[in-house]
Amino acid sequence: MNVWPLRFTDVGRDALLFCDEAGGFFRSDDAFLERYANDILTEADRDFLLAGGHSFEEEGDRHHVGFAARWAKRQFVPGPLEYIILVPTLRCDLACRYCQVSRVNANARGFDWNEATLNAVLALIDSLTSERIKIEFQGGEPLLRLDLLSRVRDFCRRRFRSAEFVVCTNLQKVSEEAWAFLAAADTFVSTSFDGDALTHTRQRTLDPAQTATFLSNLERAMTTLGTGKVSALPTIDPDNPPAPDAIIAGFARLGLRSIYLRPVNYHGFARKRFGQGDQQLWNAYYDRFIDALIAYNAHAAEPMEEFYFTHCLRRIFRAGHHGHVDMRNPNILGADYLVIDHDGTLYPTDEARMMTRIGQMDLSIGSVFGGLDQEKLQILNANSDNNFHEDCGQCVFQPFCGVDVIDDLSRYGRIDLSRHETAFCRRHTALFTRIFELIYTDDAATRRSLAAWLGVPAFDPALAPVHK
Amino acid sequence: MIPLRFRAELPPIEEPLVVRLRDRPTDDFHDDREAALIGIAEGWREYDFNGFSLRIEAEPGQSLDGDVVLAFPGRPIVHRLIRARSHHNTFLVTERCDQLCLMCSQPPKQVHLDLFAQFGQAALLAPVGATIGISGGEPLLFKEQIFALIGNTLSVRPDLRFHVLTNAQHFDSEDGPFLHGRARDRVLWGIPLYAPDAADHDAIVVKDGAFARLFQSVATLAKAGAQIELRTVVTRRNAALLPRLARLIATELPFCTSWALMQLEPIGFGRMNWDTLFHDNSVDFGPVARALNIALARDIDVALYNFPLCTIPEEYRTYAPSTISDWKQKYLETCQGCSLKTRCGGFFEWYDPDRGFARVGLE
Amino acid sequence: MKTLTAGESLDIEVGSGLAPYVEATALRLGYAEQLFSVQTDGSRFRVTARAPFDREAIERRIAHALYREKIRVESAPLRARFLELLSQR
Ligand code: SF4
Ligand code: SF4
Repeated sequence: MNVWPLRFTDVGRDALLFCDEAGGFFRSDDAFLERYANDILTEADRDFLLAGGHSFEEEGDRHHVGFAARWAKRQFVPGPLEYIILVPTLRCDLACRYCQVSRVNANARGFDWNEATLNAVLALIDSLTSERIKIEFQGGEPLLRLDLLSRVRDFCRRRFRSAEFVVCTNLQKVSEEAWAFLAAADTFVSTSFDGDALTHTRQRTLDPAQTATFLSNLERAMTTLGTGKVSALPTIDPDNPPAPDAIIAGFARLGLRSIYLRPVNYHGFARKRFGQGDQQLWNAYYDRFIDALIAYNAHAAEPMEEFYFTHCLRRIFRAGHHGHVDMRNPNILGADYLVIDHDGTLYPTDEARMMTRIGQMDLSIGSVFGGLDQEKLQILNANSDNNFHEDCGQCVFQPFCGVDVIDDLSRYGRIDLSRHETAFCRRHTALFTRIFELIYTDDAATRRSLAAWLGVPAFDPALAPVHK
Repeated sequence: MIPLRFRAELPPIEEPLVVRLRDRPTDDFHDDREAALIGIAEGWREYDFNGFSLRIEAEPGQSLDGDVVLAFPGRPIVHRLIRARSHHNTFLVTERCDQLCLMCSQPPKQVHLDLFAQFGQAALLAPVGATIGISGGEPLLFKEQIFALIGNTLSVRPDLRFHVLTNAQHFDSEDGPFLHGRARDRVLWGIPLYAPDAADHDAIVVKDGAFARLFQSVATLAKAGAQIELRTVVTRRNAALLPRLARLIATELPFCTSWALMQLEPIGFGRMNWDTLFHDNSVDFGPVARALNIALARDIDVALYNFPLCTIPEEYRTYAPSTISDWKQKYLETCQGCSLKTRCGGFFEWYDPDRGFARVGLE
Repeated sequence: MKTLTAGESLDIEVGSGLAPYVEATALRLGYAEQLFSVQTDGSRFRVTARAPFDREAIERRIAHALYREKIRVESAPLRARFLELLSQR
């Protein structure tokens, strides 16, 4: 019998978590580690490893084929370009304290697409090979340029078999024309709501009356557009976060079931103001938030989730779960999605756009007028996978984890640091450690939440294998 | 029950006849393959087939427009091979089989009537976008003919799909090119797998080595990127093994397209062995629930086939589509006024309530 | 159970079976381990605690690190063969 290489980590007194490279995992102990490492496995060890997909008898047998299939499914293969983030204007009518997008005032000039940019954007979209497209309008405040949004949307509807649009708006000033625009079946709304009115005022509007306007717009969106068409993301200042219960209650009251917690983003003007955030503070808050969710879900008819936690949980159990552009392996940039800025510059991600804007590092990858800069992309993509990375290669979480070259560059200006020194790694180590803790917690409330987050009726104990 | 055969008066034929019935001739009417309705009298419909008369006895409500029927010389019957308004059209291509599954609904017979030519003609006349089932017996005992049937049909009618039920004892690596070709995206291979280990599976299908051979076939299918539907009939023989089977599928067959857990059909051996095989999930849903939870969590697309909705707990009902074919489906008296009836598949025509589920009907 | 105070050192012997992995393990621990520093003469480790640290815990961590290295080296051919098979498909 051949055992696939197992990585392991210490998860408590005489308890180890093992994981193979296809993402098959189990808990065992130091005695097993010794038998495994010294090649003196017992009959029971062998049976367990074979049934769990951690070994095979010979190449091409069902164990081998299954492992190869699961391994392959874990590798992200980008499809054609069909997801584009557009920034038709940088202008915004709010000046949030930590604005992530390096916005400019609503009456500033020269920060909108001009006719030539619009035409070049449409030409680029027209050149795509995919039959479907997803467009996300970012800003600035995109609703300030409803005219541009309409023209892009009309064009895409004609050009593609299926088209979907997301408008990322602050929902502060929404004209009746804008409401009509948002009411279309193919158009979705994404907004920021920092959990409760007070926090939202402090961090964004600076004016309770403005916050009231926003909240009534959000409610209108939920009731007239439908809960399925609206998502809201809270931005959290780890130094002064709202109580998790308050956020959960606030979202639940609005009928929002998914909360995507984001720490204040230390790019753009935010970085200048806040400096390096405290990762530990954030991790501790995040942990408390997950606890609060579990407690809430224990009694709630409609369970709530934290979006990224759910995503990572699903990545552990599902080999093909690649739906999040920030969490993939390999994370190939400039392939299936792209950002187009207000001046027609192309970026691989929104983070890259912000970094470039504050002059930290030029991460643009071309422009709508000249096309993609393949040479630059090649450099960025040279380190897009974690499979062969020295540190990740010894990490139990590697099959579930990803790579974020842009994040590393933005924080450290380089990508050759030991992984454990990067914020990305620390954040994900903490996250996966927590998830596995929950997977191995034999407690009704925890399992209820896990089931809800996995989208299954119940969490079966067999999903948390243990070998003694 | 929807009739699959009608009494008929045939034109003088020497070969088996395959013909599509039309209520009125269409623009692209093929008079060598289609017959047009010219009159109805006293329950009999009269068709004009190339100047000859074809008469079929059918109840007034039945639509036969677009149906493809088969008739044999000297036998006053037509078989409805394809019903234009149904999603359940299956060619039973042979009654031979090299397994002898304990619950087989279609117990094998030695005789084989070769109708591949007729099935080929019928397939070409199927409605646009239809899925054609191929079943047996074991269709791939006639692998060459089946591949030819599928290949030829798809080359003329790329809009069609096939759903082939096979015991997966007959695929070899040289089938790769066929499986990877046009068939890849158009054929779903339905493969029965009953247990997570060779001893149990082989005992249930009554064939030594079947489990190992099945995996060999499946490796060939997987390599070609073929679509695989695993099918597991739930019985008392394997109910307790289902959680382990779910794990095996997620681990060793992660490339399968879907997994169907199927309630027993009380016909053939299933009827004969009903009392020893029937697992009453209205009393014990546990192992089915566990299998479903394990497989779903690991991204296997699981569905419960032939489970009356009231016999399963509420939170599992979304996984139980209505699957019993219309022509052999029935509802009980309890079903009258049931709020779930529109999305419930009900029961098999031959289901006997006295020997069946202990609990039926919504509380 | 003994606890090392910060700055205190401890020698850890390595069984002969694991000797080939000592150098690589020390190198790795040198940059990945936050709680203690490691030196080696090729056959044993000298560990110096950076913070108060449980002796048994240190020994367990070292053993784990050695096993990681052993597993990595010994499974390398299997891994290489697997990747080769995948690239042929
Ligand atoms: S980034 Fe860190 S957590 Fe992720 S795989 Fe690499 S070492 Fe593990
Ligand atoms: S009572 Fe009849 S229709 Fe209703 S769920 Fe049960 S079987 Fe289905």
